[in-house]
Amino acid sequence: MHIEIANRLEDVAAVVTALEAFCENAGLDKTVTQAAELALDELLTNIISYGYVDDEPHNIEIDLGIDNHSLKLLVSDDGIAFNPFEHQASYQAQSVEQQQPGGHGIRLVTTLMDQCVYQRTTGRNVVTLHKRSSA
Amino acid sequence: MNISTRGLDGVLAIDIEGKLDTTTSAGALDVLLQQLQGDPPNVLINLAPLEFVSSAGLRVILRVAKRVRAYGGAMKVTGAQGVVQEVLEISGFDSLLDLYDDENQALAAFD
Repeated sequence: MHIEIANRLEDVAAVVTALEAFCENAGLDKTVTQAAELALDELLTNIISYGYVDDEPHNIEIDLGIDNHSLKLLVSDDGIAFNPFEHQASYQAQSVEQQQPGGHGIRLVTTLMDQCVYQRTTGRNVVTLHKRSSA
Repeated sequence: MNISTRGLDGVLAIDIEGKLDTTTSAGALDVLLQQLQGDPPNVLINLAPLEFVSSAGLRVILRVAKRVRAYGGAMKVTGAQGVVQEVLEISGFDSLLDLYDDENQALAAFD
């Protein structure tokens, strides 16, 4: 399944809805669906919030597929070159007051997904994620 | 996403239902901060009806916790399960927040 959205946060909901339908049709279990939903929410939010240096509209492409009993997600954008997996938060706050917002999204993605790969290809960031189905 | 409140022995209990993600978080934060105005300083956040939380949702919970503490109150969190509990653990929020399995335990823990 191929989905294209604009770089607007309000478009993320449509991708999540499409993902849920795709996972249900493919018979994937809830754990896989929720991990993928979280990963898409985090990646798309990062791209839309921090990925562009201009105010122009940009397209973000998402591909969903089944690959050797795994759910495969591909997210491609033409934002600034950025490998999210090199920028994981390592700092752990000791109190609510110390805790800074942000930084957890990518750690959630890499922990909940089985494989996360970044490539910069022809001016686009391409992130490919896999989540094995236990079913 | 739906947010409702209950009074429980002088504690404001807030039930968060559905999904707390990028799409719903901004609206959820507005509603939660509104609910905190003029209410007792001690707050119990019930996550049992919450199906899903992303880092945007964690930021909402963090903002509420900071607000409650800034006003001299305490905040306890109950009922996290499944992927919600997993997200709290991976992000380290399980050690920052006062988490309880059920409401009675949480209520008993308020001073």
